Amino acid sequence: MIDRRLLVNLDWVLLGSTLLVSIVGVMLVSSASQSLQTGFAEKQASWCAIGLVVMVIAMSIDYHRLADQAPVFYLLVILALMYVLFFGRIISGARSWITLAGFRAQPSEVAKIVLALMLTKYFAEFRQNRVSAREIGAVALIVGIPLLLTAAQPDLGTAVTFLPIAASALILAGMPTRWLVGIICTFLMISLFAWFFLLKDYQKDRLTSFISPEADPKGSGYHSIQSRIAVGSGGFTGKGYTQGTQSRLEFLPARHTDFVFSVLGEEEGFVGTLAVLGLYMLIIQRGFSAARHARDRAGLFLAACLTSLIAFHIIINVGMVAGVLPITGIPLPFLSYGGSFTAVMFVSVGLILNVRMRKTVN
Amino acid sequence: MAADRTQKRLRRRVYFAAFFAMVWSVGIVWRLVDLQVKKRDELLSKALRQNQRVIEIDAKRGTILDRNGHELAITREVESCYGVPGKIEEPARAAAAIASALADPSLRSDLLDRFQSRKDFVWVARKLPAEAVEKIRNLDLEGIGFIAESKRFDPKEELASHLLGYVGMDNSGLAGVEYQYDRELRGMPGKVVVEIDARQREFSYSTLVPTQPGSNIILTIDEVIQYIAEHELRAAVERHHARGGSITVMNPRSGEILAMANWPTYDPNELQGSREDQRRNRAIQDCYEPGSTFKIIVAAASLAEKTARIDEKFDCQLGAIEIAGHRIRDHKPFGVLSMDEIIEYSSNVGSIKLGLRLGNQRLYSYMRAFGFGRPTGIDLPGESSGILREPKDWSLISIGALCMGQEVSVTPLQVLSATSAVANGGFAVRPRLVRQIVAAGGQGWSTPTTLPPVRIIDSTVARDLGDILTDVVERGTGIAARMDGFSTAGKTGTAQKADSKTGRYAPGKHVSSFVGFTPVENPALAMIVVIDEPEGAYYGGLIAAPVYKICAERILRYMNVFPERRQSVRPQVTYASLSRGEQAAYAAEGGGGEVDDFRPSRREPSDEEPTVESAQLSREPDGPFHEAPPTQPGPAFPDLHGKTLREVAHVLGPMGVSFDASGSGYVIDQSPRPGAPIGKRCRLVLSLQRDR
Repeated sequence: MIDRRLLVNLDWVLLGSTLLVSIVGVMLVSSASQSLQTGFAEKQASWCAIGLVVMVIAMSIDYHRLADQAPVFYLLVILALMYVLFFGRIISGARSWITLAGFRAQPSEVAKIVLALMLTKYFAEFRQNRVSAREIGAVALIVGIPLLLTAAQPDLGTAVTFLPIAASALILAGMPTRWLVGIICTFLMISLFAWFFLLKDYQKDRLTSFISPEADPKGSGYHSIQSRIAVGSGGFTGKGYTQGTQSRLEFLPARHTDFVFSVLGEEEGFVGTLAVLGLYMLIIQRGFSAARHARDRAGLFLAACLTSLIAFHIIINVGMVAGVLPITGIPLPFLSYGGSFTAVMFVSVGLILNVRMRKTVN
Repeated sequence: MAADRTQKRLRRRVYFAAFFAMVWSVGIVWRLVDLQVKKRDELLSKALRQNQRVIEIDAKRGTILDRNGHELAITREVESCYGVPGKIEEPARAAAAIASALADPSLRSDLLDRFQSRKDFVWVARKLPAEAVEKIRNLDLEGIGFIAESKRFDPKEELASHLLGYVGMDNSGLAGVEYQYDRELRGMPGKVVVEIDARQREFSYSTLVPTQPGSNIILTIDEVIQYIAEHELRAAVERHHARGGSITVMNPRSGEILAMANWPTYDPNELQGSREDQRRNRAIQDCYEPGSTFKIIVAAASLAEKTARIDEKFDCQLGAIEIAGHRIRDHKPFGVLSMDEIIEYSSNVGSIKLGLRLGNQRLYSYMRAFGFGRPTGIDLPGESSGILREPKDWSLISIGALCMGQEVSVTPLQVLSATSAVANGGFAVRPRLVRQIVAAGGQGWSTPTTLPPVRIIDSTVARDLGDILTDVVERGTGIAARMDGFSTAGKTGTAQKADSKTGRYAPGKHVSSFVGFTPVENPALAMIVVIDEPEGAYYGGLIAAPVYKICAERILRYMNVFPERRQSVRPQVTYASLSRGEQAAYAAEGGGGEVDDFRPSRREPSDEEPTVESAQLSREPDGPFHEAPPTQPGPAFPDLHGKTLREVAHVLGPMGVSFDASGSGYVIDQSPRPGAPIGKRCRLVLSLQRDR
């Protein structure tokens, strides 16, 4: 299935960093879930294993063929998203889960990959230097439908992660400056509208409390304060694996999911966070490198969109943990506990490897 | 070629994205340096404040023993009841059931509040009697548990209760020796660090500072002498329907208090039901006018200053003298009396004549020297200094009043100390109550420092005074204190009580007292008996002197003091050697009865030869007291399985055992095993798990 020649161009650095971060992730989930029921680390490990399998599948099928099938995938995802809106299981407030043959999955996670493939398909044959209103409208439509469906679950955090895919595709295709400005202005206006009319108070508090968490240390500022305390008290070398008091004693909220990076900071210290950030930068750099060396536009778009997707998660999550960005429910690739998310991140890396492998073939 | 250019442009845009990611990562690393390197200490201390708590564990309070090592106040383990609000299924029912089990309906609403609180741990009732524990335990309520705590227990109940004092719920001494030596008895509380999780649950304890058990205190008190004094005091107070009374027995040489009895009394174990006047230590807190006993001081000053010879004759003017326009009378008219007869018959007129020769200043300086107007310095809290005004504040008749023991107020212990100075050949005596403080475990002991002896009067003066006071008992007012076999020196006192409202003497209210020492040569004891407001007869010679006699006879016999005049060897009786029934019989027996009926001590006759020397030296240092109190042979680790950490800390704290624990919940494993001997610096390692 995978040509020998393809293996020559396999990006071992990207693959290695991904595996390394995943192993760190399983260990951190294990440490962070000490006080919870057992089984979290085992589950995360098995998800990584499943992720590896689907990654290999995603690598082995030529990305052109996948992009060609994108409209079919897209339709299926839209149907799934509509299905969960009515019949999905509610977990932590959002109706986002679908049960397929004993597996539970989040279609909104799968939508990330499908969107990247769909936009790749759309822009593969685009030869202009600049996009026009037609392309912008098309992208808005392609991304807008799943975004609204996901936001309706309601799962704003995941919905927001669709935006960097669209943004990177448009910027690559050549976004005219006036359009950029226009879109930013529109975005701001929508934000303001949402702020005053759509968002509930607790959501607003979550978004702003990172600026002055001490104003409400037991309420909206709690996550932010506890994350800072955990990360900061780790110091330079950390308190040692499984020795993080803030996570072990349950001061740190969502410590095995959204705030897993705080556990890293507390237990492994600055050395640990720097090492993991280094691995992330390596992944991002290799991802963009794959885009630059892509054989064609399709490969470039696919690798760049997916790398942007991964980078967006990292930037937002680590920014949140470090207390410089608002608290949003955006997980950290390969570290945060979560089945669908982990699998989707592995598939993303698989597709980037896919593009990289086929840079010179034919 | 256009396509190529587009491709290049596209690649440039990718570079831009990568560059953006780079800039972000630099920013985030800078932020992490700020948090993890610069603000590390601040954030770490915040973390510790959140997740650590230091708990104090009380050390085992030291035991108070009498001079022969009999326990007077010990610490016992009792159970306290607590609740875990989250686990109590029906708080209202539980609160009602416990309130009715404790027979205290008012407790119900209070308990309900506690059970409905959001706390993890609330007290239900502390230091409960065993039957109450049994009742609550039988209710079999979910979420209600018991913890062992230590409670002070005085096994001899009322015995020496005024001396011992009592402790509060937090094990701190509030009165008496318990208060005075609280620091020594209390030991050093241990400290345990507990990790607290976000829900305030406690985890993994580790010992920071092990508890140091309190020192044991060996008193100068002798349990048997104390018992005799209390028993006879009570009998006398009841016989005369008096309001109260006090007897103090002291070694006149060392100042060691052998007994200090007061009536009314109380049981420190039942502190709740006692009144303030029952708890008052009259011997050091009650002030009264000494009356004629004060004439001892006048005589001492006269002899010391040589203003009067012992055989010098004084005209007692048939019982009346006028001072500053006031006429002072004797209780019966005397003619010419020699100086010793003045004291012997307690003539006011004669005493005033002696005083007038001395003058205000000299009289005052002797009163001060004998210790009046200031505390004796006994190691008990709340001692009164009495009232002795300075001569500049005296009126013209003050000297007359003072010579009869009026216009001065004293405590029984002051009078006894002054008398002891006469008994021991002229040295000031500082009464003391503690013989030794023995550090827990028996290593190291200390004796309270004694001051170098200060001479107040010459030994010849003291001997002359002793002779005069012996005559008081042989043929004077104190004849009722006269006993077979022993010579006694003493002085009676009868004073009117002042009415606190009118400031005048209250008619029919008297304080009768007798102070003395026995035997006169080489005194083994000095004793004061004070009876407050006896009904009917009130002269000290009639009321207090007989009590002195009964007490002294019994005490001397117990102390194996060999009679001077008549040989009689009697079996030795100790309070402890009596069976419970016999103790009761001893208690029921009327005042001053014989003790011959009692079974002799099972103890072998003491090695001390029954000679006068050994009698007075008996119980002096080098006796059995220097030995450490017996320690339990080979303490062993208790079985802690199934206990919570809080319970473990309470069990191990008082034993001084350090431990480290891992996990939370209940003990599932311990090393060393239960029953293993506790060695020095042994650390116990415990494993815990949530489910039993």
